[in-house]
Amino acid sequence: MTAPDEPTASGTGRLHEAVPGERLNEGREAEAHEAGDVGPWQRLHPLSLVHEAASAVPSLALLLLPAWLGIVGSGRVVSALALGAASLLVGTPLLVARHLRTRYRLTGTGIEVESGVFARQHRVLPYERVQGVEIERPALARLLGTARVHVMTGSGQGVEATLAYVSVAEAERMRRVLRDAHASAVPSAGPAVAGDAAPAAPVADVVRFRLTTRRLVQAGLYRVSLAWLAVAYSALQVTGLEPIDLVDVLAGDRLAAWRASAETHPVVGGALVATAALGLAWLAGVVTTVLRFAGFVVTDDGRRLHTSGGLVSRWTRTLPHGRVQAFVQRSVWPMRRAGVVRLDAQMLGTSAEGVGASLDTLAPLVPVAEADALVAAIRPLAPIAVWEAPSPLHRRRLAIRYTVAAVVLLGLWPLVGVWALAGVAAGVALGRVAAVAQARAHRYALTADALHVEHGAFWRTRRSVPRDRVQGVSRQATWMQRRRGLATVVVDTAGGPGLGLRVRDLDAAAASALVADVRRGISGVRRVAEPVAVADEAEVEHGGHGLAERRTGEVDDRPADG
Amino acid sequence: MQTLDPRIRTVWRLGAGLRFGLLLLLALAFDAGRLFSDTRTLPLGLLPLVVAVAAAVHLAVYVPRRYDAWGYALDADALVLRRGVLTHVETVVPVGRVQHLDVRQGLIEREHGLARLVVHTAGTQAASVTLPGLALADAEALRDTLRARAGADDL
Repeated sequence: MTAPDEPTASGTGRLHEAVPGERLNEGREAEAHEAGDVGPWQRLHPLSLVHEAASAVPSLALLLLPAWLGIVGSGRVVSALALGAASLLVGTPLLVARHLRTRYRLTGTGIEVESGVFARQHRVLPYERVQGVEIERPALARLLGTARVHVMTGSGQGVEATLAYVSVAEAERMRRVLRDAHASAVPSAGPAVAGDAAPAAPVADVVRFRLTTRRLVQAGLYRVSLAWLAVAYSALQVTGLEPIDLVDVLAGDRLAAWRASAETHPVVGGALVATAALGLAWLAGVVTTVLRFAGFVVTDDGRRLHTSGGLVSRWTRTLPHGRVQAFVQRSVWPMRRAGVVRLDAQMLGTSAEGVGASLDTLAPLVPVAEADALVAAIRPLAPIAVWEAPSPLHRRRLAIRYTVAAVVLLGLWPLVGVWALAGVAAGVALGRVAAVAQARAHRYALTADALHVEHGAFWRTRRSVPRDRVQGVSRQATWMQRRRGLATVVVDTAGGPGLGLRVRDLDAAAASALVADVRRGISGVRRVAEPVAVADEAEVEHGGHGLAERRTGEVDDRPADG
Repeated sequence: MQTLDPRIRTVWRLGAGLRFGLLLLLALAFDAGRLFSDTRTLPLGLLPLVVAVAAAVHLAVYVPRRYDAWGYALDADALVLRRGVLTHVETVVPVGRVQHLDVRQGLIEREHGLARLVVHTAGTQAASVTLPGLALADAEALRDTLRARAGADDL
């Protein structure tokens, strides 16, 4: 990391060298395509026209809907047809022109993509910046035998390329070429952790995890999806249906007695609605999980993990080992009873959705021992010998907080006399129970190479961050905490907002010791292990620089003047 | 721990004074608008008074406390920032994690020859930490030192 405000001469020079203006007007080049040669310009698969047309239908329909309704309503079928024909006439040449004006090729140094009918865009992604290749096959693509290729640079939006669509064979060829080219462009980019992978030799893919059908369904059962519930209820709102009317629609008279009791007794009604909602949410959880994770598999090529899955639309993601920032194990109480967890990896910057970070699933449902083995295969971490607990005062602080919350909540219920007293007593008891459970679940462990923090009584989360992935550490003490001699330690990691590790209510001395220990751990590690540097080690070679500059230097996005 | 340049207190006071002045104007405008109204739930002059008292407390009590709470140190391996009146926060930014450094000057700061050093890391909780109230030369010197140490690690 040199001066942040110095442009990297070598980086920019390389880009300009790769984009001479004349090259745009050159015709097809030699067919020979070996590493170091310039491959021929290639167009997308002709069937991508079908994709384009299909994706244009909904917006077109929406746009023309008023006109259609008006014309059809007045019975003038000919006009309606004319309108359709007109939109086809305007739309088709545009689609074809776009198809003809989009081309790509693999050169010795990177992948080049040209697109745009009126404003031409020429984009170069050097191989050493390519962080991953995602092959996506939505339903229509599977039907047509095509695939969408997404080339990720790990720098977020705007500096990536999507080729929609190419043939499956071509997609796989591109992935292979890009992978090999990246490996040779970044010879030293072996994962900082994996001594097992020889840097140069390509390693055969190893299957790290495969989700069985039984576990798939189990994973769905444990995931209650409230999002779909919201969708269902807003649909009811829009259609003006009452949930209670649905009973009649769905079940007729058979449930009339239930309906009557629900209408007369609000408590019964509430319980019924809650049960129905929970059942729906449960079902939605199963359905969404099956849709997303059917056939889920994790393979490992020695430097990157590839995850894929999906029932209707098949997705693939590439997760370079060096970009893993932390591991997250999550579980709900029944999952722990069954001895299973969900394992995610916190990644830096490979997300197709945008800059920064994502939580990528490594295993939707996996026995604890297998989860540990999976983590060890990616990043061996020392076993946790002793868990440390926060100060006993943590429980008292939680109890006060929860009791106040419970009493306030119950206070919204207009209770009087004895009932009010009972309500307060219930609030106090509830708050206390919750505090005890929650405080017991909060613990941390600092091993030789990682910090682990666990919290949550019912929904439990364990974050494990290797020491060399720590970005910074803070010690915070509110006024109340200082009065009790407590402090909270926040360990900052790269990736995702709100994903820092937080150890709450430690004794002040213990907090200071933890900060000092974590800090010592970071500075003891060489920077090569730093997340950004590891992933773009090429950059370190010619003077790596800050994230902000890196973005601008990465891709030539100016319109081509050809 | 080093303290900030004392002139930052004036900068903070000026900045806060401007904001409170704006609030005071709004409160006065609100009162002016109902000067001749018969149904007033709030007595005239209460709102401006509250704003004025808050401003006085802020300028006379909070600003000095905030200044006292601020401290920083550049150790061999990390930049340590300490701040916060009600909630004390001590942030350790390891030198090896610094991605990017900025020296910034606001209008009032420039008048007083002060600058802020903004330290960017790849983290998300403290993606950037700001060290205010440094003399411009000091800020630049600190930036250069940090940069040199961050770079030296590469060799």
